[in-house]
Formats: sequence, structure tokens, C-alpha cells
Amino acid sequence: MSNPILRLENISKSFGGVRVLEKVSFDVERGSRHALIGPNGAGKTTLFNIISGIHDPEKGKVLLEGKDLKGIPSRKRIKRGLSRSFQNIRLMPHLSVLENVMLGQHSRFQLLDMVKPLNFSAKSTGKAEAIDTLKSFGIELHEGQTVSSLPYGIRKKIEVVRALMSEPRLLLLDEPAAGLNTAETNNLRDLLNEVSNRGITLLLVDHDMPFVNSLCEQVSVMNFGQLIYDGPVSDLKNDEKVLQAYLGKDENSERSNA
Amino acid sequence: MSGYLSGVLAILGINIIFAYSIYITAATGQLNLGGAGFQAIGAYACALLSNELGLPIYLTLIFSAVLGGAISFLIAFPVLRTKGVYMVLATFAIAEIVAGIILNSDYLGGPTGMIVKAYIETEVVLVVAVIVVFLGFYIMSTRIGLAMRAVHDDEAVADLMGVDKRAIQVGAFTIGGAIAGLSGGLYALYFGFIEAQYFNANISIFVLLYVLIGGTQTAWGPLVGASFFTLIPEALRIGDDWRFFIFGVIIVVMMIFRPEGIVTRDALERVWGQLFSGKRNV
Amino acid sequence: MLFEQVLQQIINGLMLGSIYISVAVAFTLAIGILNFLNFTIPALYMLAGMVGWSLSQYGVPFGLSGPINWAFALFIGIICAILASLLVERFTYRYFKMKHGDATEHAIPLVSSLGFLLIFEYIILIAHGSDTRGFSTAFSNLDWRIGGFIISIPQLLSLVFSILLVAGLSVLLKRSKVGRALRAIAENPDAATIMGIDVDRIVPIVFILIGFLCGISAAIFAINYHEVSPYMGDHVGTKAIAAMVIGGLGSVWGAIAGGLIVGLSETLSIYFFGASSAQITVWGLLLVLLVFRPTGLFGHNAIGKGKF
Repeated sequence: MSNPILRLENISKSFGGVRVLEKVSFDVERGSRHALIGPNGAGKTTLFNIISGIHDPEKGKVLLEGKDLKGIPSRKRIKRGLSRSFQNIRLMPHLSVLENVMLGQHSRFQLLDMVKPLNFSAKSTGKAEAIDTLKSFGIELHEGQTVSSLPYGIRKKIEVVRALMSEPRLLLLDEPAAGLNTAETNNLRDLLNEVSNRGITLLLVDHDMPFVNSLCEQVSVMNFGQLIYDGPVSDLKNDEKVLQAYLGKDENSERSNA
Repeated sequence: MSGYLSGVLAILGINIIFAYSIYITAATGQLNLGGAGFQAIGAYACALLSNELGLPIYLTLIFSAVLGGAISFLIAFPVLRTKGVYMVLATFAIAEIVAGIILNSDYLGGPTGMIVKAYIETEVVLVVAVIVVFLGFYIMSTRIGLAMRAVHDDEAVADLMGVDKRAIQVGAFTIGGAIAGLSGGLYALYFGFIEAQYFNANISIFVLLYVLIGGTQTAWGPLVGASFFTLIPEALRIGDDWRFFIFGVIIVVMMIFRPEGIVTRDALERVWGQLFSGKRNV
Repeated sequence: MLFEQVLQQIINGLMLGSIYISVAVAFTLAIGILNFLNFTIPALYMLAGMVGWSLSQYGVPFGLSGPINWAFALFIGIICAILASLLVERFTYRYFKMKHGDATEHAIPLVSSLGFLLIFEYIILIAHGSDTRGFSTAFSNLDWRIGGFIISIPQLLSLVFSILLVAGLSVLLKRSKVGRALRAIAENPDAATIMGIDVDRIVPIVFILIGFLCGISAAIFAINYHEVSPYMGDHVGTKAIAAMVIGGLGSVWGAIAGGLIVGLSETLSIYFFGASSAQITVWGLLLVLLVFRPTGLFGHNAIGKGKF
């Protein structure tokens, strides 16, 4: 794979003397559905934060579409095709649902367009587009609908829609299925399938293995800040290191002794 | 129009303009407890220009806004490095420093104050107030207003969405300072006399209270807050000291039962809904 | 000659600082333990002073008694300050629940305390008018003269008393069970609840301390300067806030140092540059600190450090 959309090279990071990431390297292929999994505390969210630009790596490089992101502030990365959702839903509480989604379009607008009143020129301010996108994902709401009145599953969906509004090429999703029931999880999988079909690369962190299995082809596994597996999802269950990480040493030695 | 009514409307106009200056920054998530400082800057600038240079009124008013904005802009960068309670204290400090400088300056009249030779009628104040109100509503209705409210709610996420939060915060602070300066200029021209002792901590505190009680979620907040606290005491003929006592009680009660202020987005939605019978479907 | 005059000013400055110390500590306790910039504090100070004066002048309202001895009157004034402080706890702090954590939400207790400031200040203004009132106490001109310097005995005793009081408070915070509970709440109120600390019963203690400190400070002021006024809170309030910032938010010893520094800068500034310059000096210093060194002089030692 010579032209991955995302390449992580030897990313290392410590916080206050504790090594959180140790020489993590893997590629995410363009158009793929790539999972990043691992036990809690493995460093997955930290890695996401480094890719987003919230933290700088101590060592190593993040290359987005071949370009080094070093020195690029976090707010400029969205313009380069990077977008993300969050582990705890972070929709703005005092903005309506529609406004939250429209915020996602911010990076596509020039200053001159930003001075137009949003209620008067729906088409050129992006309002019409936001409404249509929500509709296309099955979300119909009335103008001024507040975030707090909607159920959890729908709010998760809206966060994903918001992340799509910037027309990203790579979408980072931090535990998108967390807290969803079976029906909602299926709904989410369908949504993400559609997103992927539109050509957007997905990199997602999640703990729901059936969900990951049904959606992704590639997976990278982390444990204690290190990468222990990087390859197809199908081969995952046979990998020794992964089994050890998830099940612990004792189980493993039991099996070899049996 | 009677002299009394005229006076009340002029004060109302000035209070409304001042309230919008604080609202613009509060909507972005910054609390400015030093409004009086910027009002003073505008008032003295206006007074000096019309006394010394005899400039026409509209020019002096423009200049008081420009000076208020310029000084806000210069101060914005260091002040915006502070957060939360530190920012409240830093803005408070600024107002105290401005008042201190004026008190110390004989040229500016020191403790005796300064007489302003030019004057304006209530109509001018009201026209400017209407313009400022429109400006307030307009800004908040645009994508820039959306970005401001995003920075207020969640700076970190707004940043990841591409919002230049530094630019928004500095911009809001600057515009706020300019509008506060403008309110000061109008005050100087209408009342004909200004003194540093007037532009004190109480003034800063009251205008912030108008805005927070009115509600920072929509552009109606400062209009409602300033009007409520200026007009109700007059309408009920409440004397000075009782007025503030009741004000205090209202504040405590509001913070218990409705801390987000009188006008909230939800309340506005319900009012719209009732006025235009039925929800507007998307 | 000049040196001696300056030294006298320094002495005066330190004496003045002793008034600010206790109020500064009140502010710093509220911020450090409760994350609450409590603007009612200057009003509590004023209440103690004005109630003390009123009782010593007129006795209990509605003719229930004749004028009361000044010491007892001040004592009751202090009690009033404590009760008023508990009112603030009950109606301002206890209702506050953070939902979103944005900037305007953080301001809710602050705004409410401003409401109480207005309530207490204007009750007194309505009851007694705006005049400054003379308050005679037993100590009137007890000065100690050493080598050309004048040190007022009551002021010296007040300074020593303030420092001892606050030092005692500091020890209380470090060693006692209540003190440990307070520090736990300062670090993380939710964790404190989980650890079994009854937050709802401990928090009022902070407010009682705050009322007490303000009351004592007002009593010291009345004894040393023989006057009270409905605006005495305003004069002390801003200086005490400045002292708190200089010392570092949340630091008790910082508040002591800050109080003395503010007293000194104010006195020296007036001596060298004239009456109004003090404002610029103190607040200018403050602004610089807030921007470049917000932790102040002792902030690293603060209760609940690392919160801001």
C-alpha cells in the first residue's frame, strides 16, 4: 500500500512521566473501514487526540494524505479532510440540533459568506444542505429542536452527521456504538456503511466486537500503548498476542497445557 | 414629550447600548466585569474632542466607539489568556485602572469631573440604540454568531470544527469595547458632565447583571434585561434605595429558579410557536 | 529624615494591611474550597460594623433595649455577619448544580452573591442612610512612641491578632479532621462525597468561617479607626480581592502576605504620588499578575490547587 490516507510513524507520547504511546505505526488505506481496538487505557483516544492535533506527539509523525501534520494547528486539520466524533457526545447544549450540524460546515465557508443571516438565505448559508443531509439519514426534526430533548441514539447519529458536514475524506469515530442498543447499533452500522460507500475512509475505536467485525475489514490492536496487531479482521481471533492481551496469560498457558 | 419621560428614555437607550456591549462578549463565553472602564474611555474621548476640537457630534461619537474598540483590542490578547474567575478579575482590574488614571489626571478633570459643552437630545440616543439593537441581532443571526455561541458552549470542539476561537474572542471583545465606548460618548453628550467616580464598579456590575438576568442565549436578552431594570422601577415609582434592594432579591430568586435568564432559546421557541400556531416543520 | 518618614509610612501600611488580611482570607477560602468568587463578603464586613454601631448607638430595634456596650455590640455584629453568610450558603451555593460547565454557568453563584450584596447593602442604607458614623470604643489614642516613630497599640495588637487568627486557621486546615475534609472538598467535591464526607454539613462551616473573618475584621476596623459606614465594605472589598490575587487564589498564607503588600503599596503610593495613585498601582500590579503569574506568590500551596 503506497498511498495510505493516514500514516502513523513511530508515534510516542508520555504524560507526566507515564508512557502512553510507544512507537505506534500503522497505515489506514484510502476508502477502508479500519478499526482501532484494545483494552481500556491502551492509548486509543490519545492517539485520536494526536491525529486531531489536540496533543503533539513526542516522537514520530502523522501523515495525512502524504503530508506531515506537524505544526498544523488542530483547527486547520479539518480543512485537510479530517473530521471526528467523540466518546462522550459533545453536541453544543445551547445550539439547536440544526445549528449543531451547521457548525460542522464552518470550515467550508469563507469570511464573506459568514456574514449572511442564516435564516434568510437557506441555500447559500448551508442551512438547506444541513436539513437535506439530516433527512437523508432519516432524521426529521422541527426547526429549533433542542439537543436535550432527543434520545441518546439519535444524538450519537447527529454527531456523526455533524462530522460529515465538513466533507471529510477521513472520519475518526470514537466509540460510536457505545451505549446503543441492538436496534440502534444496526442503524448506526447502516449509516456508516452508507458513509463508506460515499468514499469516506473510516477509522473507528470501539469495544463492541460483533459491531467491529460486521463493519470493518482492517483492524489495529493496541495494548499498553503499543501496537500488537495490524491486519485483516478475519485473522484477528487466531493471533496469540491479541488473545493474551484480552484474555490474560493464564488462560493461554492453560490452553497450551491442555 | 415631558422632560421626565425624555430623561428616562435617554437612560434606557444608553443602558441598552451598554448592555449589548457586555452581551457580545458574554455570548462568546467571556464575562466582562469592567464595562465601566470602556464606557469611561468613550465618555472622556467624546468630551475632549468636542470641548477641545469642537468636532461635530457624529464624529465624536464615532471616535468614542473607535477608541473603545482600539483599547479593547490591545488589551484583548493578554486578558483572553486568563480564564474563568481570573478573567472576571482581570476585566475588573482594567476598569479600576482606567478610573484611577482619570482620577489622577488634572487634564481630565481629576476628581472634579469634566463639563461637556456639546449636547444631544434623547432622539439621538434612541436612534443609536435602535441601530445597536439591530446590529446585535444581526451579528447573532449569522454564521459568525453561530461560531461565537459554539465557542461559548464548547471551545475545544469549536476549535476542531475549524473555528478560530482566538479571532472570535478578540473580535467579540473588541466590538464589545467599541459599543461600550459609544454608550459612554452618548452619556457624556446627553448629561453634559462626567466624572471618574460615576464609572465605578457598581456600573460594571449592574450592566453585567442586566445581561445575565435578561439571558445570554439570544439577542433579546440584553434588550429585555436593560429595559426591565430601567423601566420597572420607574413605572412602579420605586425610590432609589428600595429599587436596588428589590433588584438584589430578584437576582437571588432568578439564580435559584431560572439561572439562564428571562429569555432562553426554549422560551423563544415556545413564544414563536404560539404566535405562528404550530411548529414549523423542517 | 526621609528614611524615617518612609519607615513610618511602612508601619502605617502594615497596620492598614491587617484589616485586609482577614477579608482576603475569607475570599480565598471561598475560591479555594468552593470555587466561588463570593461578592457578598464586603457586605458581611459592612453588616458587622454597621450592626455593631447601631446596637451601641440605639440598642436593639423596636425599643427592646437601650444602647449596648460597644464590645458586646460588635460581638453581635459578628454573629450577624455569620448568619448572613449562612443565608448566602442556603440560597446561593446550595442550589447551584453545574449542568454544562460553560462560562456563564460558572458565574451563577457569583451573580447570586452580587444579589445578596445589594440586599444587605441597601437594607442598611434604607435603615440608616448613607452617612459615615463615628463609633467610639474604649481604645482611643494609645500610641507607642519609639525613637520618633508612632505605632498605634490597637493597630499593632490587631495586626498580631489577625496574623495569629489566620495562622490558627491554617493549622486547622492542615491538621484537623474538618480541615482535611475541607481540603478534600476543595480538590474534588464528588470524590469527597464518595469518600464519605458529608459535604452538605461541612460546606456551611466554610461560610461560618467566612462570616466570622469578615466580622472580626470589621470589629478591628471600628476599634482602630473609630468609624463605620454603609460603604466601608466597598473600600475594603476591592483591596481584599487584590490581596487574594497577589497571594494566590486559595492560599491562606498568601492572603496574609497579599494583605500586607496591598496595605504597604497603598500607603507608600499615597505618600509618594498622591491620593488617587494607589488605585492604579494596586490594580496595575494585579493585572500583570493575573496575566503572567495567575498563581500569585503562594499559589502552589493553595487549597484545591490545580483547579484553575
